[in-house]
Amino acid sequence: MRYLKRHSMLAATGVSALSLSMALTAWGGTTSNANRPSSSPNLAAASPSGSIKVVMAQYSSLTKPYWTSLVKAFEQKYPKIHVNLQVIDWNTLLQQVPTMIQTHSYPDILNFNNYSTYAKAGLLFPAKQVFSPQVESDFIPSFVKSDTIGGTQYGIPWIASVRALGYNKAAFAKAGIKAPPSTWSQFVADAQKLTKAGYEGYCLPLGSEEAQAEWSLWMWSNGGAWVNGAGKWTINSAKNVQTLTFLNKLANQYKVTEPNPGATNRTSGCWADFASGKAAMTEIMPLGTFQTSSMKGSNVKWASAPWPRANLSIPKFTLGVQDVLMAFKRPGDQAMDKAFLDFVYQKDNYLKFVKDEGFLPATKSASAALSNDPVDSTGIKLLPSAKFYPLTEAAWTSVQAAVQSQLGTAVNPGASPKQVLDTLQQDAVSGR
Amino acid sequence: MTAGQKVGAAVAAPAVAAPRAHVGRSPRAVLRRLTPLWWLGPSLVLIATVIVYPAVKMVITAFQKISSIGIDQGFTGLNNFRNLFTEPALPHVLWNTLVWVVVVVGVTVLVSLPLAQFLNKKFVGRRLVRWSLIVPWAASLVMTATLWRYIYEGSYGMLNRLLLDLGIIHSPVYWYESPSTAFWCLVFVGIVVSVPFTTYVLLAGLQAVPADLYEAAAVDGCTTWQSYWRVTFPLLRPALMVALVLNTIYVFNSFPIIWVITGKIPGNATDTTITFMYKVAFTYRLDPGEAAALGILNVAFLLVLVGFYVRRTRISAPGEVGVPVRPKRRLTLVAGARDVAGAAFAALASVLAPLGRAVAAPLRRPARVFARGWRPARPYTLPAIGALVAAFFLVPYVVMLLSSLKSNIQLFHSPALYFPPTPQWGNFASVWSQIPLASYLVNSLVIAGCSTLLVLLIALPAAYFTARHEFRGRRAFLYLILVTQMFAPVALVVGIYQEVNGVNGMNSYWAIILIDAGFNLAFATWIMNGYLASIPVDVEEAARVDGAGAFKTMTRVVLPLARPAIVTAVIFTFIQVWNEFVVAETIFNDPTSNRETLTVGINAFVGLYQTQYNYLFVASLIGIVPVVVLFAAIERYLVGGLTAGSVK
Repeated sequence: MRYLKRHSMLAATGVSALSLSMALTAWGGTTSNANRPSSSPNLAAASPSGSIKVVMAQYSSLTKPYWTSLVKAFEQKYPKIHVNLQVIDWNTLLQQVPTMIQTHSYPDILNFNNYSTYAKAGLLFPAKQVFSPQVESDFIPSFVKSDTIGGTQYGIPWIASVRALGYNKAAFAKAGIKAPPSTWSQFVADAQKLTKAGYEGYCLPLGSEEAQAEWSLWMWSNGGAWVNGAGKWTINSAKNVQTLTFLNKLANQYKVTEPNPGATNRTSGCWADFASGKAAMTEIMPLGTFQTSSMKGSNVKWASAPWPRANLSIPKFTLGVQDVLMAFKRPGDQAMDKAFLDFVYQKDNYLKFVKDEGFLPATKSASAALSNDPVDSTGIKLLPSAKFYPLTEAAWTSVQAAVQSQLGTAVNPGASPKQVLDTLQQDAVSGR
Repeated sequence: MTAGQKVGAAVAAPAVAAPRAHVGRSPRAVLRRLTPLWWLGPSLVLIATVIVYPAVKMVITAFQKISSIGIDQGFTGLNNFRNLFTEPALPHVLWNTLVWVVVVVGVTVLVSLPLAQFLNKKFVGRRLVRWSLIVPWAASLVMTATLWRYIYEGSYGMLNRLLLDLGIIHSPVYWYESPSTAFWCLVFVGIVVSVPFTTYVLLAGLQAVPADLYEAAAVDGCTTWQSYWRVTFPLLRPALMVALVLNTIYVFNSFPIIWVITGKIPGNATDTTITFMYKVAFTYRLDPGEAAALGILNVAFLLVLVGFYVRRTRISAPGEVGVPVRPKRRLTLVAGARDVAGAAFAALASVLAPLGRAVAAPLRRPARVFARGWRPARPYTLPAIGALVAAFFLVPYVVMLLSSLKSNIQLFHSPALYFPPTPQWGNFASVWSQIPLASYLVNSLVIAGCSTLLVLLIALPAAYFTARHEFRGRRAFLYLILVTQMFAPVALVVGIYQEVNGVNGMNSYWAIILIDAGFNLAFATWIMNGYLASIPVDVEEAARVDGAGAFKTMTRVVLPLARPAIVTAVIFTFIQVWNEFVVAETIFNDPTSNRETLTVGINAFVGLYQTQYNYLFVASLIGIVPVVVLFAAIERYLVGGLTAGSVK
């Protein structure tokens, strides 16, 4: 999942005390290891010492307290390791990570939504070097698979979300719809009824926030794909053109979407409309986190259904979105990284995070512990049918950026979906 | 320059010119020849580091392959240019740029001409109307753009409320989101923020037209229309040219309006070559090489404009400036430019004048009737028009104030509420916990304060020395300064980013302070140079006779006299840096360590989530109000400094 953020703005940040000396010091002092005892990995394994920089994504208001207390407990156990912790909201993180990388001020551990570009550039430790075999055996295999490039695992599965079609029960009743649509044609008919009943039939978030998620769902629901079996990009396949044309028609021919879906974001647009009862259907996360943040204070009664498919011969699926941790190769820090990650993935520590945030766990032990949880168990049951983004492709980072910044234009009136997909395909193939 | 005219003609030839003949090889002579370096050196070093070097770096980058994660993969020939020219969006972006520059500059000038004429008339409240123009001029473009974004919002936007009430539209229009209207929304904002400067430049030009010419025209029986085309317009020509060229440069470099309002919307429907370059470099391609290639083309276009402008500006010898001259002669044109421009204007005038006559002829009788009624109505009508003009420029900011007092529910009410039913004054208290405003303000203050101090320390000696001494390289130096004034940082942003990154200056105070100082040297140097040149040399000579050295003379005698120019330079530089966006967004942007300026911080909260305009407007008001007050204080000196003496 990219992120889920409270509607309100960030919590307060105090005045930073600015001394002149600070003002004259370049940021990125963490790139220097000079003040750290450099010990060989073997010795360090016995008793690692020094400091590591850990950058974690903020999923909710509980994230920061979680990490602060976890780091405190960790430092008590390993008094010689200092953890320089930063918890950053997703919006900022997405902007900052490219800068961090370009300026070579890598953190030791980073929580992000893709890793392949950094892995291919040789910036990451292979995952097995930074956690113990017990941790390794606990990960759910399907996650590990999409974190592995050429037989080496680089991404460390962190948490996941799944997506589904959310609908407003009252709106369905008002429009006389008995059951959620399972095919595209039912979907269009229902959306038209809902529009006639005074709702936004379907809120289509193709704005830059998370266009790649919305697109993946529709693409797969027509049997299309990002990449084919031979590992070649198929962004502009005939099926995908058909799908995008369908989305354009939703907006401009059937007119069942909100105005300007190409400029509507998920959080500020569709989820806000869904929570206010304006949108009758939209893509949602059937998870605790969605109810506690986006639907907070809303009196809309909603339910979720599997994604409607072009025809019923296409198997049921869901979009699984995985966030990962990764460890950047900073000489001398490997043993500390390992101590830290082993600590984080201890069953109780990890389970608390997953429960706090209302996301799906990436470990077998946590999944088992949550299998009777009223909200998360639905999501956990969906996981086996989950399809993931092509995270292992090195070009994925730039494809995702291009999809976010261009795909929305395909649903403008008179736009050519084929042209938009052709351009995306060209960029993906040329690896730009 | 303003002060220049006040001083009499009694300015002696520069004292330094004489010993030149005696310059030999003696160490003292060598030292003397190096004297200018002491005074100008810091300026030269700063310009070389923050303007020339990034430019060079950008050229080099344009021929390098740099991966999306910043790894230099070596020389790549013309590949970056090839990639650029095959960008599917490029033709549209070029077309946008052309329309953007032509329409914004064109309409701005067409609006500003009558507006300047109007503001040149005497009426009750004129001062207030002039001040109302200062608000959109002084306010940070990021904040103004945030304001307009709110006005243009779909279901809860203020414009829709107004148009719905007037019955002009019947359902909300998604102004900036829908591709068919988005670009024109931006053009409108572009015009609104360009009119004030243009009007002020033209006003300065109008004030320089000698009153006796109008009297002569009246004696000859000219109608008002005729005297405009025969007297005013030709004499306004130089000011108009300056307004056109400078506006073209500013509008071409314009970044925040487009970036804030539509920067996060997919596609390139509203991109110009400047915003497209930024996207290529920092968001959509993460390809500095290709962005640098486009950057070179942008700079080439700018150089043509700058060249045109510089050729129009004559740099006078020290001492010469103080001589009061008719504006027309002060604006000596280089022959070629004059011929072209002159011919163009003659043609324009010859087309427009008969056209005006043709239109006016049948109207002459009603006009006379009108004129009879006009005289008694004038004392009421002019202030009334003035009030309308002031309202036009101020109302958006009133919307800002009113909306800053709305609760979230009131803010997102559809349709928009004109007034908050219960003003939430608490917003001004809770904003501090909603956004890290305190740290924004501290950062902006530190950066603007330090940059201003640095500019003053560096520009003052250079301005003083060039105002008093003739030496080899003086003209070259002043032209260099003039050229740097035309270069907005955004044009070089790719090179600046590479440089700062290379010296480990990302997100550090010193780097952004140096860069902001470098790009603001020009104005400070020009305005202080002009003013200092107008101070009679006698005063200084007296001090010298009393045994004061050159430096002491400057600090003890000249500085106190030059206070107005120094204050103007300080205030203007401070405001420029305070409002600066693109450099801060690019190289000083690390929220995790509280390194964001006010403009960057506000923009960070626009767009991705439900935008909390109420809090952003509280922050904006805190950022705008002091700046407008300061700006109003130096208003009368500004035009001279900004046009580098080409007007008035």
